[in-house]
Amino acid sequence: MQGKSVFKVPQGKLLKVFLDFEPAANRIISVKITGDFFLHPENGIELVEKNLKGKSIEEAESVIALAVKENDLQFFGADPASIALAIKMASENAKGGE
Amino acid sequence: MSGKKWRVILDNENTAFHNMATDEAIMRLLPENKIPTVRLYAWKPAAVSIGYFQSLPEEVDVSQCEKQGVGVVRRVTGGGAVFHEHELTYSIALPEKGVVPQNILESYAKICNAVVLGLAGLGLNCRFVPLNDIAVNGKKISGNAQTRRNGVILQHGTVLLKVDVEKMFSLLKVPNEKLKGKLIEDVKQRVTSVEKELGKNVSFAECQKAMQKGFAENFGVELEEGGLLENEMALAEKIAKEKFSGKDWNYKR
Repeated sequence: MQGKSVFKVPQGKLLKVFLDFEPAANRIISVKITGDFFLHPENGIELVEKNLKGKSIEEAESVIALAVKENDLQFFGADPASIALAIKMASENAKGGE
Repeated sequence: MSGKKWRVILDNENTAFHNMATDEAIMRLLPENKIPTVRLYAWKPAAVSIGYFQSLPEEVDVSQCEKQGVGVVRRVTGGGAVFHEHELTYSIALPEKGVVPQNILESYAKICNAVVLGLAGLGLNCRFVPLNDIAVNGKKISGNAQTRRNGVILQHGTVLLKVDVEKMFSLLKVPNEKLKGKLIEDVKQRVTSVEKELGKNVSFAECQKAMQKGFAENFGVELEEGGLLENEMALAEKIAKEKFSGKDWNYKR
């Protein structure tokens, strides 16, 4: 099931998340995190997306935070909590059949 | 760092692919060439650039760009979609250590101050607005974006000479078509240009000169006019063709 969310991070940038999600198993099949935020180094985003595969929606924030910590990533205009929230919103939109 | 002489490339109009490839080539070859470089350039045809993390089909009406002869390219830097038409774009490539603060936010402030000084030379009292904007009278006049690779900082940014918000929104997708009119009005309230603020037309060459002075003053260096080196030209040509004009890169996300 696929879902999308658009979330303006308070005092930050605009996130658009595209999620492929397995609701029965509460499992992320794949996720694409897009938006006008900044991340140093940039290719850290692909790493974050890879690490989210197979995880539950509830695990998303800690998975992103761990990737940030282990790889010395720096987000500007977004953070693990706001991205996790956008992922959750995308999963809810998917459930709603949007 | 080789003392106090840097290079400035007073470039002219180039395609979107060439512009992005040239900035990247200068950045990638800086460890070898060891020349801190400021490039001041424009875009022809006009183009939309999107940030590294943006989705091209999500942000840009690509068929409208084709119809209007507007180029489209993904940047190596983050940030939002930008319509490049009546503007001056700068890029600066520097070693990561020794010139600007290691802290990313502080380094934006340091580099953006060069643009603030340049605009002051044109008679505009601007200020840096973190993270990545420069504003005058509360309105945005410049957007900036930075990346760091292999010990090199590349930052590029725009200085709006004139602004055509309607044309910009004919090329960009908006989340809600019904609210497009309101969005255009909002942007008109939030964005300005050199021409609007000064009430007169300022040529690209005049702005280029002012920016050259601003960068020299900000970094306390002499900016010597120069062109691309042979290795930069060759690499720029290669990555313009193989990367920036390709679907793999532009539709990457």
